[in-house]
Amino acid sequence: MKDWLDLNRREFLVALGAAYGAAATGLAAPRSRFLEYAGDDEAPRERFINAMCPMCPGGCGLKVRVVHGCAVGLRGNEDHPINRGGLCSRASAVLQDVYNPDRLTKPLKCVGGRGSGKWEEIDWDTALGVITDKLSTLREQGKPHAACAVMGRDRGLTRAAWQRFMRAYGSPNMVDLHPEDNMGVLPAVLATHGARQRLGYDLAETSYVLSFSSGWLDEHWSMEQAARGFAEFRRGRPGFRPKWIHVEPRHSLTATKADEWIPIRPGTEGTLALGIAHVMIREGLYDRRFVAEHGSGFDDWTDRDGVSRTGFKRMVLQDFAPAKVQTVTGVPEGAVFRLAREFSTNRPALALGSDGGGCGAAATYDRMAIHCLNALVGSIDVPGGVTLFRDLSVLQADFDVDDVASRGLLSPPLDGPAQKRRLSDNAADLLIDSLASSKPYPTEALFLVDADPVFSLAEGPRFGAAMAAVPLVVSMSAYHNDTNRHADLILPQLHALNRWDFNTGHTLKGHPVVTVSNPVMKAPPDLLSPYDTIRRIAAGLGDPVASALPWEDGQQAVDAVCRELFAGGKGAAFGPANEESWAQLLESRGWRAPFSENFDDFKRDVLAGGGWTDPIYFHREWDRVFRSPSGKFAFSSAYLAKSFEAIPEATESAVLARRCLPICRTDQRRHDQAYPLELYVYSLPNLASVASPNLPWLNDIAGAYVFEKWRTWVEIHPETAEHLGITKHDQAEVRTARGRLVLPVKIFAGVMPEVIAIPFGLGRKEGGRWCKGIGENPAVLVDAQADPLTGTALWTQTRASVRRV
Amino acid sequence: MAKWGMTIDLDRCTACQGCVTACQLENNLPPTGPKEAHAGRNYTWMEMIPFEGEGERPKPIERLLPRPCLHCDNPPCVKVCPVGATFKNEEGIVGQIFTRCIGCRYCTTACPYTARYFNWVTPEWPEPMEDHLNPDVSVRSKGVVEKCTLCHHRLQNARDQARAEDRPMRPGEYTPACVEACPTSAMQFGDLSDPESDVSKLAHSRRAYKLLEDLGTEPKVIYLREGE
Amino acid sequence: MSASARRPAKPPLTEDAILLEPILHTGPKFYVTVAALLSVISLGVYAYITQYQEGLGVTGLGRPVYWGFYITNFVFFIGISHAGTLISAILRIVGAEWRRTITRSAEVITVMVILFGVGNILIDLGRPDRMLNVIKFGRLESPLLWDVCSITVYLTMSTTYLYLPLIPDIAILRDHTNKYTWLYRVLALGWTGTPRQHKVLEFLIGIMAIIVIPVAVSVHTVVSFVFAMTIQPMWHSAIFGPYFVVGAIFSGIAALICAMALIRWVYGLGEYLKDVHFNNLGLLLLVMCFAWGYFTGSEFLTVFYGNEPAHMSIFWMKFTGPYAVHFWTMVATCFVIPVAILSNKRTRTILGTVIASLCINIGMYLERFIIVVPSLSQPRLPHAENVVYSPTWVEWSILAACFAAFTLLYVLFTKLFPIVSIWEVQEGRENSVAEVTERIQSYLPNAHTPAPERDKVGVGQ
Repeated sequence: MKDWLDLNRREFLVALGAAYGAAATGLAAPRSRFLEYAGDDEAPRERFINAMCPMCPGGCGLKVRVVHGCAVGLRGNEDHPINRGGLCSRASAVLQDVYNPDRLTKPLKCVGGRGSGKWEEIDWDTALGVITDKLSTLREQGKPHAACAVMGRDRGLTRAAWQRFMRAYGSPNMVDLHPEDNMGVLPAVLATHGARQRLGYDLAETSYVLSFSSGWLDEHWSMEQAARGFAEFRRGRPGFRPKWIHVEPRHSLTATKADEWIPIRPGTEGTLALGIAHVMIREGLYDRRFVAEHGSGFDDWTDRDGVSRTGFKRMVLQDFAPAKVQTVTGVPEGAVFRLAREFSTNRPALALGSDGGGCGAAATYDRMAIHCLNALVGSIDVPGGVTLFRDLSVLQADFDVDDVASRGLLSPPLDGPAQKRRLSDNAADLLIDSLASSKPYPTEALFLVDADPVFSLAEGPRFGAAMAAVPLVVSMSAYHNDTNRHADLILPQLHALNRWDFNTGHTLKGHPVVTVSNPVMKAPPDLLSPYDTIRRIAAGLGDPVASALPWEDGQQAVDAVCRELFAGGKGAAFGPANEESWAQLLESRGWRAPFSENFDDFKRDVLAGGGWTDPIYFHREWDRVFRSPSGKFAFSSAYLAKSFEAIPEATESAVLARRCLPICRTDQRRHDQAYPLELYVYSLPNLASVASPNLPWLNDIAGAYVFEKWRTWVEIHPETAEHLGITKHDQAEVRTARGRLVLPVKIFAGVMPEVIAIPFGLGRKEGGRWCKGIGENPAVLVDAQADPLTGTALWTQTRASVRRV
Repeated sequence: MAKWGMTIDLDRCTACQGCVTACQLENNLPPTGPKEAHAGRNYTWMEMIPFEGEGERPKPIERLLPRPCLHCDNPPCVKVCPVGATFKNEEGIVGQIFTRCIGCRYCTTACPYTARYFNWVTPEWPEPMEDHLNPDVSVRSKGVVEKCTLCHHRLQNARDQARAEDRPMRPGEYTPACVEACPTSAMQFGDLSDPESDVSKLAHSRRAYKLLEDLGTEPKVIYLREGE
Repeated sequence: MSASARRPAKPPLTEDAILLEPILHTGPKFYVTVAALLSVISLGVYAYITQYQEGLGVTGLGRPVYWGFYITNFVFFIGISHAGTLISAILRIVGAEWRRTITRSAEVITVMVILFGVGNILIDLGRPDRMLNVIKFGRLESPLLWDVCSITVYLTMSTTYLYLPLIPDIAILRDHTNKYTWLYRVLALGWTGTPRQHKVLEFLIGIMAIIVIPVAVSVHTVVSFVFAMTIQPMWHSAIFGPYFVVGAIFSGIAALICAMALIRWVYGLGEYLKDVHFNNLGLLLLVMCFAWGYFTGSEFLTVFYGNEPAHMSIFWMKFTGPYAVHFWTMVATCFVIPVAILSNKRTRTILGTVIASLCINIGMYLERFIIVVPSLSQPRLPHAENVVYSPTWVEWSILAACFAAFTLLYVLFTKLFPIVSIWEVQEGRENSVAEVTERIQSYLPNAHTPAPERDKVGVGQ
């Protein structure tokens, strides 16, 4: 007996091998008895604890299997409306993150100067003391706005706490590093619907999908739902198998699963969309009724000064004839006609633009153009069409701030003036200039909350250099990363599965979902959760900042979330999978959670179920869906028109009016002798936007669909390769105006002949053993252009040359 | 006697590889790095296999196919094992007795699906990673062959549970980790000998086919092809 | 020494004294050779200890190339082992008189090299500590078990077959030398050379020679079955049994020629291992060249003509792909070069046959290698092509050590026993000339032709 107790886990599992061997041959099964002796006897042997998957913004519900205090397995939460019991590859890798050997365990202070890579362990009080000293000095000097927080992928409580903290402290500079994760198509929706919300897609009811470099199955913000949506689209309706056409420069995962792949030159997806619109309009294939009733700016219109303005229809007919589209996009004229006819006759049809994370962003005008196709076939807010997420906010309630803070909040933000990002609240790419030039004012304290801009921004290295001007840089990260090199302090993070947390999200059909996450096991000592960290900083600053974070710990915050939801009086704790009957039941009970008469019951149900959702979605709620003044879909963006009015630009109004339309590229890209090829950087599935890159399982599978792993390669079309004298085992030098990389070659018929493709997701200079120094980061090659409407960097405009080395 | 089998609908499958990591987690597959991966020494009992296109105008990637051990009814690996370390039990599961295997790797070469894995070195879980090891599944030693067991331990657990409650095992009570995780329900699992089971119906549908069918290995993992 | 003092040795043989020289006298060259071989062996031992501790990860193997050098070595060594027993048995049965001086050296190769064949299988095991499971849980359905059985039988029989004709020579050693008399006395089994003893011995040798042939054929057939019984492309072939047997005899003869040349050179046995032996073995080798070429040709032609994709991917790997160098070197060294050398009487000299034999041995190693590895490198299901097998220092060291250990055992054998059968030479000298003359005369139509000066007829006498 004693011997068994003395076994460590590993020995025990090896010993178990013998038992399994015996059991497998059917000789004996003494297994369960062995287990009884295998740990401390106090904890129950096995429990399943509700948690939330922290790996991507999707926010799936997990049931973590805990045996003797260790998390040893996962199951999807069957009742969770986002994943319905499923687990994507990243979810199952979460335990490799929890128990990762390279997680930082103590606060670290840089010794020997920034960039030296020398760190000294310090205690939390000292570390937080440095921060509060700096922050209180800034506030005393009346410049709280000189503090800036760059937010990475942490959501839920961390994000809410930082929002409240920054507001109470008085800084407008809370910048999202991955706006794609959090916004996706939001800017395009803002332009066309006037609503600050993302789009959902009712794939299960759609008859035809045209997806434009959407990354739907590669790097969607909710992989789980994207996959499930796809499966429902494909086989949800017996006897009917709809068609999915994928348009992308490269034969991605989505292209593989699609029925047809249409190669297109990088960054010209919007042009093709408008070419399709051209055919639809010319041949009268669009939904005239929807456009007449719910569209604005389609026909020419007259502005207040009585000047006639170009409408969507005229622009499209003038500039986007299929022949011309062919020269710009490389998509044959015939295909444009065919796509237009198929798209408009197989209704309900859906046009999907990029809605993923990963790298770079899609141009907002392109996204607007693609979304206009949905309007042209009337697929907006109808079954089988686009839905607009129902609003959801928790812990966002406004609160009063003191004078210092309100003055600070009115300061111009560091991440660029509003005319550079009319459709976006913030743009991390624009932060670099402010940091480097100290304009409009110098940044005094920079917080990187789970953010690694040096790795993930196209101009990452410049971000790193610009950080030198900031007197205090604090990085809150679980691992070493490329940005930490430029920091003074690193504050380690308690893993999401070790703490109370919540997440707000949506199902793809637009239902709001709040997931609550319990700590699944005892937290390692000496680690603070992100909330505790920020709360202790706030406490150090005293009131009124401290009172902005009234909850003592994560559990209380989750309690507050439940209270808000209960007070909202809608929806219910996760219930049975049958949404229809659930909705009917809710309806009959007056939208009230049927089993929760009081708050305690409600909270108990939410915690037991893993979260809360409101599974009601009414189609054709036009008031909710179109929030522009006209209450219609804006083919010519009324929101932008207003913005141009409010924040004027030194351009004539006719040009400005045109800029409210989805203006996509109409010029053929000129031939460049030095850089004859176009570079397409794409997100490596499972790796590019995962919360932690140091996971061996994910590295193993990331490139599996093209037989690649653990390295960065360059894909070259066979013809191009032959022309360049490159063969399959060669190394090639890729050169752009920005930089050069030497990469192993993959000859791949899945890129266009004039395009080369490189995956993004590897090439970290710092980090754990499974990511440091592995592969290359193609960001150094990217000649990024700022999107004129959001300020985020577009990665699709880079030209490159390749030669064998 | 049940005959366990699986169907994988390639039309529902999105190649997300959730099954791959779910299996790795459930079955204590060790983490490996780039060196091991490039030498073919990583462990993926469930593996996503890309088929490159052929013919005049090939699709660059024709098909993506998740491949567990196919649990052949006529398993080429079992025949060749010199010590009976791999066997097909009466329920059709092709198992591996890790404690008997001598590591000759004859089964690994005989398997036409390359579905067997060998422990080239002692598997390592850097501290504290071994905390997440599943106590239901043994850790293999170096020098032995391992493979997908259809999560046999789950069958044992389900059976124990049913026995404890003095009732027959219910359909769906025993599900391998990959099937359980599959976000798109592309994978179905159940008793192929029961004509009423979902998996049995799917296995006899028009779209059903077996991988390398002409080899006569009679796999019990059956694919449903893409298309109508 | 005190034992030998009690019974003084008989006066040394006069005629064949040179055959006892290596046993009686040991020069510094011997020690240098042994030291050199031992150092190579110790490198191999070190390599194996490393492998035992770290696991097979120290090799260049991986998925899907699960088998590499060790299995190649196994097939190669088992093939070489056919040199002896099979050739010697055939020559004995057909009564080829020129065999007398070469059978011993051939049989020794068999016994020594088969150990390394078996050894490489054990080296290849992931869990050598569990090798007895083969006995404990042995399953006769597995071709590997067939191997275990037939190799065990073959080893036993070849050892017996080596030992039986050795008895009279051991008796000579017992009687004529002072060294290791205790050993020779035990091993001689009281041989005194009586006619009855001779009769029994020759009967046993005759029986063994007949039995050992099917066993030897079975061994290599069964080795081929390890591959052919699977359904892997270019392994699953009915031709593999005879193909392997032919290849085995082929490489065996080549190995024998090399060994003979070495013995001839080192111990100055030019009188015993003459041009005629090399010439005759050279002719045999030439025949085997064509036989091997025929089998190789049929193997590849059937695959090519059938044009099955799974097989063709392996075919092209060998013809033009990553194993093309191996393949074409094999074609050159196993066929083109030896045929060119051996089919011309002027080049079929001792040097010529040795060069051809060395080529063939290299070529046959490559043949084994490209049978084992390419079929594994391209499994039926698509696989990443960047997994390329290249053996590590461990595998190279163990290969070198196997050759060194084989050589060492061979050298030690020559230091303990005469490498040319003394009594058979004597017997030949005393009886056979008359016997053969008589026999040849009996072939001829009622004529009394004088006996030929030299027995020039080969196998078909």
